[in-house]
Amino acid sequence: MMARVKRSIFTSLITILILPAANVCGAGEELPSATEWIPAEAAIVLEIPDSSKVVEGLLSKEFEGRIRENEQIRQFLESPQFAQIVGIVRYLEFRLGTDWKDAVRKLFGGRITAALLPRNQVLIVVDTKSAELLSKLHQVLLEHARDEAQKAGDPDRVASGVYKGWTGWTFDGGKNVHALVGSRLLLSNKADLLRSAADLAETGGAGSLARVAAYQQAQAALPQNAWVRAFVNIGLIKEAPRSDRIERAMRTNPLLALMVADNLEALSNATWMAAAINVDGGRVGLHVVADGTFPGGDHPTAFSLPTNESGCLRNIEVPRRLVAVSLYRDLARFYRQKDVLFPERTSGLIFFENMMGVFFTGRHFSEEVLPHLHPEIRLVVAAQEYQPDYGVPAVALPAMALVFRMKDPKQFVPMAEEAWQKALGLINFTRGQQALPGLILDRAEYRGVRYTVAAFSTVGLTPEDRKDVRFNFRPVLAPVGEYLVLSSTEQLARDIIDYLQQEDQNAARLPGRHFVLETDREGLLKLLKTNREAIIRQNMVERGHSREKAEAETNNLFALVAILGELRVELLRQEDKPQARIEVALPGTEN
Amino acid sequence: MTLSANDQVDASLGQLRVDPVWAWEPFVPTPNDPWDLRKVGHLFRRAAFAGSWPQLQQALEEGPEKTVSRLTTPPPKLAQFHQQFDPLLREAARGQGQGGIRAWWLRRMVESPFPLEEKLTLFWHGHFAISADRLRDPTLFVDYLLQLRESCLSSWQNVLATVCGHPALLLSAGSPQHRKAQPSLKWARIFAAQVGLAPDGLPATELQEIARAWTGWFVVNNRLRFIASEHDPRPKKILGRQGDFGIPELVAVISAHPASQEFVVRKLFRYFISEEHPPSGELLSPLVDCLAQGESLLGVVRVILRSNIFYSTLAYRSRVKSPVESVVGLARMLGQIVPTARLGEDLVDLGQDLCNPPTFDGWPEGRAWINHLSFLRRKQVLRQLAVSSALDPWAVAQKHGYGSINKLPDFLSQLIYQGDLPSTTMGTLQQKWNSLSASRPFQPADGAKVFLAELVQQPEFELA
Repeated sequence: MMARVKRSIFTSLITILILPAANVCGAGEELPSATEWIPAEAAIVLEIPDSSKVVEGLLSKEFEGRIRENEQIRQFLESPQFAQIVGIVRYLEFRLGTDWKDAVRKLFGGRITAALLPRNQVLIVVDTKSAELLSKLHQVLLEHARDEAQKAGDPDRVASGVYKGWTGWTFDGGKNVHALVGSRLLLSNKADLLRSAADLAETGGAGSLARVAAYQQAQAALPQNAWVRAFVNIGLIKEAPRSDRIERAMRTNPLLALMVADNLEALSNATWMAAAINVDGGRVGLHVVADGTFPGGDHPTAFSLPTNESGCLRNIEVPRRLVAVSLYRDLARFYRQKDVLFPERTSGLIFFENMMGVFFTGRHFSEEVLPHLHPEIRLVVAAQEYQPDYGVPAVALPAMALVFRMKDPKQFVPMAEEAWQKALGLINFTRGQQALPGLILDRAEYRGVRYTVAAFSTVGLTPEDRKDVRFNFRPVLAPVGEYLVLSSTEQLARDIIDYLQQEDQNAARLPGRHFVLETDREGLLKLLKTNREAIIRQNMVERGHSREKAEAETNNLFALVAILGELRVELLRQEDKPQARIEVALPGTEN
Repeated sequence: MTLSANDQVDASLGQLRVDPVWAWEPFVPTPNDPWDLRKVGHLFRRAAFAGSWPQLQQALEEGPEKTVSRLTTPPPKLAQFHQQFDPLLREAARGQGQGGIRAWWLRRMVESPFPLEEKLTLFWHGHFAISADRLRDPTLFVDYLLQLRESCLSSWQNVLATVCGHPALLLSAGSPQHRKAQPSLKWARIFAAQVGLAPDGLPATELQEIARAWTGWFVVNNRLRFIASEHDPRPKKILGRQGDFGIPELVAVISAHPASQEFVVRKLFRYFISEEHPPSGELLSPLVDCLAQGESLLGVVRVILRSNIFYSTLAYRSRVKSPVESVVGLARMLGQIVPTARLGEDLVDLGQDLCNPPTFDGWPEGRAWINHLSFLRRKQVLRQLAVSSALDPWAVAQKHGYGSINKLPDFLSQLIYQGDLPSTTMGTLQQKWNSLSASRPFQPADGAKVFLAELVQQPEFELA
């Protein structure tokens, strides 16, 4: 059993480590840029110009220390699976005659380039620093692959062939192929692609990616010191089947249209998109640019575009926050374009508009209700602290709140209040018809803000009854100065009131931004921990896993959130061109 | 197989004429009619959804008597299994509603160490046809299911008392109030039909008396309550017995009545033996006598599973599987766990929403399950399951010593069909396997999934 697990991990390592072939041609020669060996049809290209920065960062004591601070990662490092990996690494060290850190530096410390071509063809080019070490490692893994093939009764699956002086290898019957040229490793899932690379090498890169104008423009638009660079040929992507699926999804999904219509429009007239990743003090930043332009004026998608001075507001900060989103969206303008933006959904919106007409006493939704709101909209999601006297639901749902900025609170607050109470009344009526518990409406005051709150009664309920999912909700409508807060819980509403009353109005604006998303690692981890059992159970029935396997997957999810949980995404407009900035603070580098 | 069904069916009546003594005597293997893999597979399909390879081999070795005992005796680890799964079902109801219930009930069917209990729970659930939609509260539905499971193998009286003592029955029937001033004849008709009293044949006065017996029973806040002031205390005469009957007395009178007992036995006959050939009263009478003498339902099922008639051609591969039996059977054959959340939704598509039987008569039976469209959809669901990452037929074959390209087809065919697949079909499948395994690159694990998908899409797979 152990041997099988070890073999499986060993085989996985083969795939991960990207094996070099035995045939070393032209060792010591200066090789041309990898992009000269990649065909011009490459749709997506990822480059790490100098992997040593990434490798040194990952191997540093500082990084290790930060990683070890995380509980989930510590658990993995102490697990039997990790011990097996360590055993395999020790074996490789023995065979290669070097320690693993040195081997990683030599093998992965150079340039790495990966390209995705049409029909899911992949070519990966790794420029290592030691052809000799690669050759040794290849020999070890070739022996292992031959052993495995022999044991499986399929010795022919390890094979090699020669084309234009390159020797191509496969360890799995042709599913994946690779070749070594000097200190360069080429790996692909198609033998033809490896042959194309050999052809390009022979012709000196004519017809290669390096000669494509869009690629050259994209490279010029990116910072030169980027750790990782990516290039997307949008022209080619548009030709791919189902490339318009987001656009098609948007036609039936107003929420998606609200979020992405502007950027999709800008990308539709772009020829390329490029991205650069940088790492600075434990913060990983991704900067995305494209050559498309936002249409302005009366264009249907111009509802989300801030001017140079305007932009969305800083995200709201509350205790136990999980996710916060700030948007700059003119809702009235957006909704007026419904027949253009999401035409396949508008007939279904008739009921919604009728209901809004009922709630807002006959006012027209896009002409007399939405125009009362400024484009700044904020959403906050936070974990809850349950009050035992109310109920502690078996499944803990996070609290959620929307905060709108009103143009004229004196006029709009009574309208909103009336609509809110009508909506709650309708909910009560509907639930009442089914003999389900209804919401009791109340008025309360906090820090001078009078708000409407609705709660479920707990009279006569057993502790078991109080586990019902309805006790996740205690909805509130609260006007706070020029803001209107709609919250699923009273606790979150009060936290938002605290925040808004102290918010610095001048510092709150983020010019040029029209979307800012932030996630909070600690809050997300806490929520995941609270719902750990429910997540495991869901995994068991959704994926058909045993409890042990479901627990292992849940731990992986926790580890992922532990690493990537502190995230910030900004979408902005710069000189009418779309840009995105994404930043992940690695564990131990928050604030 | 000793009985040819066609010879024994009375064409004019469409009823079976079989010697009852022979029919219910325990099957004893002979050199001409041996205990073989086909009979083992048949027993496991009917009593346990299906059997895994080790289970089939063990049964082959142990013979019919011991195997039936094993399948009908609660194993020691059953209590622990319930302890683990009952809270999961309750939590699923609370957190995910009906989707969660379907997923965890299916999971339970796949994993249960006592599958007969799950089959009988499904049997009774299909009979009383309680709809979770009508209950509105998924936790109440789960509470009903758990109580039904607890009593499903005990006596007919116990089953009836459990169902009548739970608010789910009245809520699902849309009849939560039974007032003295307005006894519900509509409810009395539904109830009489569910307990086998043939309401059309009952005098109107008898139905009126049954309706009066229910007076005073209300469902208030999802709890069944008896409100004495709403009960009609006047004497009632039901099925020849007289008294101030309430529900407990009504249950006792009905469950002891021969018509009701024959009704239950007839249902069990259809479920375990044949839906195609209605049995005569004479054939059923020994089982009805068993029930009348206080034998539990488990005892009656045990007699059925041991009987000559159960192993006859009349019963063999003569039932159409319900969608649940089909998919759970596939998972149990391979002894592997499948993603049941998606499967629960697929079963809704196939017409077997575990939480909501379509009518008071429960789900369709037999051939009613199959039409062109439903058969195609069923094949699609089975194919998806077979090629999913959850099932690994290659690993199963390897585990039992058949993990080679030459041995796999025969192994899977034996596991699923026990040699019942026509040789022409098997030949075609073998050819497909040969060309599949000769292609390069070839991954045996992926190839085995494709072959399994081909196998389970054959029409014969749908016959239990």
